[in-house]
Amino acid sequence: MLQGKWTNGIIYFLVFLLILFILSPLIVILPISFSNSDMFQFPPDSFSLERYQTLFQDEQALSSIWLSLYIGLVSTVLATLLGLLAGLGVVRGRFPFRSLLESFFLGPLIVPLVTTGIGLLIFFAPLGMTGSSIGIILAHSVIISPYITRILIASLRQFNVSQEEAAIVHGATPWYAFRTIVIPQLLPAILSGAILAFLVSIDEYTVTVFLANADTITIPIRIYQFVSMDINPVVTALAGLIVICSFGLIALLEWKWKIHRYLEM
Amino acid sequence: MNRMTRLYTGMGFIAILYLFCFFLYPLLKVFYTSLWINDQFTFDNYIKILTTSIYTQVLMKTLSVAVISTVIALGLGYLMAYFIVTRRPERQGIWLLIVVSSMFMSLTVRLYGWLIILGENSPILKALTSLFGKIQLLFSEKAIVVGIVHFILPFVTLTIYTSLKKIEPSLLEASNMLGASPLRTFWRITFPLSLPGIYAGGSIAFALSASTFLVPIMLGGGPKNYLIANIAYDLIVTVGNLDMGAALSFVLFVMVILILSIFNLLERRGQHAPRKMD
Amino acid sequence: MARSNSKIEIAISLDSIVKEYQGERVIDQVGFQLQEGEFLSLLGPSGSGKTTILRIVAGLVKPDSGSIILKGKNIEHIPPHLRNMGMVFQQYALFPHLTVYENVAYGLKARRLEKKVMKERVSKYLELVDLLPFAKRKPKELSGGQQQRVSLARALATEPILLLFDEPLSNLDARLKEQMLHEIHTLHRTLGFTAIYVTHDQNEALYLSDKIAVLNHGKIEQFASPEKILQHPKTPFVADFFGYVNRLEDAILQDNNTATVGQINVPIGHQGINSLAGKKGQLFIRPNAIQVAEYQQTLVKDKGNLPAVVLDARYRGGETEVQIQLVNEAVNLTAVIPKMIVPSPKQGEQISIVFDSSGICFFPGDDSDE
Repeated sequence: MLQGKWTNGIIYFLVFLLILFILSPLIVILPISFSNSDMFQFPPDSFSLERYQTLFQDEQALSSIWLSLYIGLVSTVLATLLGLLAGLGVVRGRFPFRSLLESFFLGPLIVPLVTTGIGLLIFFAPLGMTGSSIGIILAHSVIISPYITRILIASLRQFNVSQEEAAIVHGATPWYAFRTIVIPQLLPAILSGAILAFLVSIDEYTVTVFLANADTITIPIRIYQFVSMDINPVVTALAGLIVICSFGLIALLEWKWKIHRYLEM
Repeated sequence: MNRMTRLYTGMGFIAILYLFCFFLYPLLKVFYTSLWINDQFTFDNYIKILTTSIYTQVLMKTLSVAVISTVIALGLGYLMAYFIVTRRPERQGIWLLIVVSSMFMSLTVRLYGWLIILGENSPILKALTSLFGKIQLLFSEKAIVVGIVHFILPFVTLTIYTSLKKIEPSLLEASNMLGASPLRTFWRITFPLSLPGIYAGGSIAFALSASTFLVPIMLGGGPKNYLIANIAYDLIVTVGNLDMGAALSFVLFVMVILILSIFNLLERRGQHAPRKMD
Repeated sequence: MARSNSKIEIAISLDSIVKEYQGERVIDQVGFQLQEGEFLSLLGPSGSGKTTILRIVAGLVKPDSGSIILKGKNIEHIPPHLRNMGMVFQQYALFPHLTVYENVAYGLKARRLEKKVMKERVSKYLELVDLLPFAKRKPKELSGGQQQRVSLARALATEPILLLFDEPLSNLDARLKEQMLHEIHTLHRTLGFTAIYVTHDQNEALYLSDKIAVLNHGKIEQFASPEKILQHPKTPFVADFFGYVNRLEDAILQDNNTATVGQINVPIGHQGINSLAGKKGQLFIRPNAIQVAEYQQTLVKDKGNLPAVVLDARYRGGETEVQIQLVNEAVNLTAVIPKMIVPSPKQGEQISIVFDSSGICFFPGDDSDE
């Protein structure tokens, strides 16, 4: 491919700048979270775990963490079921306009979140479901499901159908074959999709903000408040915690299952 | 019909039903709401959006921010993807990890990071100021573009990487063996073959940037830099003008779908068009 | 599964099976009977419907009409998992996430067999296909031939009423194919199972089968034993499929033993239905029914020697294939001499040939009457 010392040098330099650009917010946030200097001060001039200690005493922050974890877990379970049904339906079911159906299942990814958010607000408000975690859970289950659906579609397309026939001819009911042959082989895809979807739910802001009230402030809304409105330095620790946890999860997925293969848009 | 197929078709129907209730129905409801003003069916909201300068300005601003961000992200993403794909296969993993992890790293947290980097106290801004004189990055349109590019870059990179990865290495070898220079090989073979990835990456980038909501409110510094999504939110939550907010968000939806269709068309034509290789 | 020697029992019978896909009839009034312990091959080119019939028997495809009686029971409405069949697939269709042992045990587990019985059964069949030492491996760690043997053991392990094979050897190279062919035949002889075997390869069908059903466009052209099919092909299609390579148009039937093409008399061993003396039709001649007198000394004295010229000669296995042209008639033929002729016959060499009636048949044309 492109060669020559100069071109190579230039490419390396540009890529170095690019990686710096990609990582810069994290490079900034992590040190600040481990200090007790001003929360907008970089580089920080001290090292301390004080922020993390206060984080676990800050009731506002803690309630947001618990709420987001709760919403994230329940909506991920729902979205995983939904993604499984959608993926299997579109790849293996019999439907007319299959590619249109696929776009429909992946639609929540494409439709602007504001539009979805307003729609759900109009739908939920008369039912008294705004401000409740149930409304947020349902909303999240819809908007995070495409991540799972897409990974499942990609891995289902590689699945050899005659395996199912072999199972059935040798005495398995369709359901037994599904449980013992299909599901175990989809497990990596299901798990990695679920973890990514969970991360998206934990960080969802746009739709949530339409449906939330003072009792249902999730982590991203809390971070926005702490950063932009009533400034609270504990946000540095909250941000640091999220960075560390999500990086750990994603590194696990990439190392174990090469997750990038499924993420092409 | 095969029994397994019946099982899967049934499963698909449940998914359709669920998404119909909590996705399609709400979207239809948005459109419906935007057309009813004071118990009357009218296109007034849409006419207002297309004729009032406040709205046309926001539309144009959103469009220009989205286009600029998409173009920048495509350039940077292509460079990154090309760099990764030319590494040895066993070394590509670490680079891809950086890309994927930034894709799923909390956007709220990342924007907070940019708030610090672009802020007045940051050493970077101080360095820039000492070089070029006083510059204001934070709370400007430039800051929004930086935030959006940071948000969409991993999506673009990964999509282009996938399309570059699909190119048969034998094509490049053949080109080199026929005496083409590396640069010529790139422009004649690699680049045209990666066009589908560019179109796909461009479309997802545009869809995400045009509908961005969080970036303007965190980096834009108030209503002067609001984009469509923010105005729609404000109209509904602050002003209480539900039908107008719905109409505006629906215009955004149509705009995104339109651009996506164009990209999709380009992508398909690119796949079928015979390639000239003189 | 032991072969019943007291009385002949019908294992399976199909009657007027019809299946259409998008208005096109892919299976057209197919019916046959198979006795307990018999090995049947469904033989035909791709698109002839052979695999569809197999899948209909397995219950994976529902026929539009017709009946399938398995051991005296109509199984039309019985779902595939209750039909108690075993099947060997073309692409093996092994479960990649399970070990060889678990693959073979799958059908037994689905039937909730006792662990002990299951273990004995799996070991027995893994032993039979020589794979017991590989029980703990995953399919990926085995060669193609080994994988197909696992697939065979899996199909045998449930001790099915009927064993189905869907072109099981088409993915293997020539050598492995020979080995597997032998192995399947040996297993059939020792276990005595009833089997339906789908293939497009006449050699596989001839080697393995007690009965062969030749299929064309969804119809059975002939259903008979290998000997019968080889000697008495019922239709031009069957003759063509079983190596009657030479086809002479415009032949006229003289009597039961001869036909004429132009000036030459050709002895015939077999004639298709509706053959009347004086009728026009086609002659089908096997290459080995044309004996070349110069190279097969024993035949020289025969009466009907015809002069011919060699056009080309090639070796095929241990035989010599010769392209010849008759001197008195503009007819080109392919002949096979069942040994290697060294040096090979030269182009232009004068020879004489003798027809052997056992490899020649006459089929009347369709258009002459009606």
